[in-house]
Amino acid sequence: MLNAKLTSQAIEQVIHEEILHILDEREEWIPDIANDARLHADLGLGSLDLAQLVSVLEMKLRADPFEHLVAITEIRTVGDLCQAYQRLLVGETNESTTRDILRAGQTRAQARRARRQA
Amino acid sequence: MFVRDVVGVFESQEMLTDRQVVVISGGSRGLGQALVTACLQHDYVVATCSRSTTPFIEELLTQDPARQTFMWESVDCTDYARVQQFTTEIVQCYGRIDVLINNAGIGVDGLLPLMRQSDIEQSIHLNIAGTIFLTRACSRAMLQQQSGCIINISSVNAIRGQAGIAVYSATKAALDGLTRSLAKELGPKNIRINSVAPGYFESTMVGHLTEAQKHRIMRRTPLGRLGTVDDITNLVLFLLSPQAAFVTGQIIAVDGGLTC
Repeated sequence: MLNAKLTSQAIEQVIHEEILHILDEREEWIPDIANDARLHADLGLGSLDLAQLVSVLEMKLRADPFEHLVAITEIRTVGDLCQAYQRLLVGETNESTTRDILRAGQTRAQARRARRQA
Repeated sequence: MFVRDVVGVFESQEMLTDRQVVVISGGSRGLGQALVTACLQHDYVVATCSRSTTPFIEELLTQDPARQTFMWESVDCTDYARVQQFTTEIVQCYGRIDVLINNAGIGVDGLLPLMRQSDIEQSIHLNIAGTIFLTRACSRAMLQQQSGCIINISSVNAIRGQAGIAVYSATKAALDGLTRSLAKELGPKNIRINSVAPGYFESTMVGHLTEAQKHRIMRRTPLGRLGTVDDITNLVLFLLSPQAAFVTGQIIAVDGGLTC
């Protein structure tokens, strides 16, 4: 039973390791997982890979922030993922609250629309 | 480092078994009981649930109190949180879930215009929502392993209509839709899903039929008989075996040709 308080850094480390594990299964090597790396666009992780990742993290961290706290559809980057778990387990994030995660998502969506219109 | 301490608790947990672990819903009686028996006889570890025990379950619990190859829990599959607890307990005990057989279900007869709201909702909640809750929970364990097999116990009444069981037919047809979509969704992670659609076989669910009705069914069946429980369990055992490694997304009727 999980009874040790995790630090934000520890949570981030677990998440980075599990992402590397999935990429390693594909024999793809990425030297560092940056928090601003986009899960799909930069790391090539599809929705099923994300489901696998969330399942593994549920086992490792005994937590699922997407059940009630954060919508999985708002997760775009490694940092978004880390913040979701940090918010649930630590009660704070390195950068911002869930509202800021949503705001960042909206900003990215606006940027995509602007690029399409350009 | 906190994470190492915590993660180590889970990673160091010994796999209590190297046998395949089969989860069966509604394993206390009828076809579920037969599936539990068949899987145990074929050296699978079995974790089953039902709302209450039966003499069959009590005997298995007495034979294996340490849960070495058998586990039973009281679970209402329509209770989302309880279903999650159940699957967590299975993984904690055995370290894995390899197969899920969605057998729990009810059939309420009656013409739809005369059916009670409570009977309609009970059928839908258990046969569809309960099945989906348990499938979701088990699929998470299978995703971690990147392998798994899910078998939905459907019905020929999902293939061919029958007066008096419209709601039951609807719920079983829903399972077949679940089978097809999940097969496409989870196939890339080596998780297979199939439906087994039993025809009329000797069970409590046809116990209310008169002898005349049973004979009418047999006349319409090319193989000229009602099915047996073994007819169903034999197909299930095949589908969860390595011999069915390339079979997924299929609805397989076991009905003596009734629906062909």
